[in-house]
Amino acid sequence: MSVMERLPELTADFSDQKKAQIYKFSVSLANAYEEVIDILKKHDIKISTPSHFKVLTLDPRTAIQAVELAEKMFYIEDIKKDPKKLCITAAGIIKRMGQCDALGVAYKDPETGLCYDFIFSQREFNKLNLEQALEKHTPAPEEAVKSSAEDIKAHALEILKMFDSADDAERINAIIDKINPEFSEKEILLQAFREAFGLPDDSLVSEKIDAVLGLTDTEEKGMSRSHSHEGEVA
Amino acid sequence: MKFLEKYDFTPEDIDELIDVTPKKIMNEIKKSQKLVEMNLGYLKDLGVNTYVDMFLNYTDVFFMDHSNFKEMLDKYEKDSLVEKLNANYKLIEFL
Repeated sequence: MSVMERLPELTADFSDQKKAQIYKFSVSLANAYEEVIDILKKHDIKISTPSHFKVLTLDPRTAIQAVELAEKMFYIEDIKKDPKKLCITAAGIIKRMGQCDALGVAYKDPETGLCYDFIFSQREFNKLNLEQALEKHTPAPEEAVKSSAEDIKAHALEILKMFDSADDAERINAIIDKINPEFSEKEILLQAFREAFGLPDDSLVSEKIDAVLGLTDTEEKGMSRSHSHEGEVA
Repeated sequence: MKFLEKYDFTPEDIDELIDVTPKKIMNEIKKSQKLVEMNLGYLKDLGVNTYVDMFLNYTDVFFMDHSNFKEMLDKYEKDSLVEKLNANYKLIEFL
């Protein structure tokens, strides 16, 4: 079946007012992937208004990755409320979450459990003027050193060995390669392990990361370090 | 997307557009640049100041044929329409 043939299925719950607006979003419908309809259905994400058709134009692989990341990073309910948020670059969302975490800034409404809008918009995030606070934020010693990708992967392997999962090294390394290198090493390792293993509680991994980075810090005492403020705090 | 600067899109706005817009829709913007400009220009000339947010969130609407786009807006009393769209750009979805 084509997307147009599935339009009745997609719009079954639309009010008459919403059905009357479908024509305005016909370009998205013309560019939609049928597979994305099934991906959304599988994850119980409903198209509830014509402006949501935009999400159907995502490449199916991108859509799957975006949904899985939203589930792993606990913002899937935000996606269900507004599927268009799936179109937003996930790395940016996670970076803003990390920056809020670093500063102790709450990014979820305690009553609804949904993320505030600034998590989904760099423009809105910039309005918070957190840049100055981020620059002033003193990173913990283990975050002060910018590590190379090879160092990070070596540390990841040490952590995997602690869990007797050295065989997963290749998978973790592939994820590390995709993560924004401006994040701190600890953030990169946490995100990689979260994505690889879908951890609802990453406190144990976090402890292991602290241990590995702490050991490395001791080993490298006395060697020169370069400090970079740009992108230092995730 | 540099053409958007003519309509007061800042570099930050353009970055946001790239961040929230699937590739296929970005390609449509490039293909339909003249049409997009006509529709953006019409809103700007009307006095609507929320057209940047409209474009970011309801890009599809700007691919409408220009005469249909105008007709959609001209149905309403101009001052009232501009006031309402400036207060809530999301109304564009339901005009």
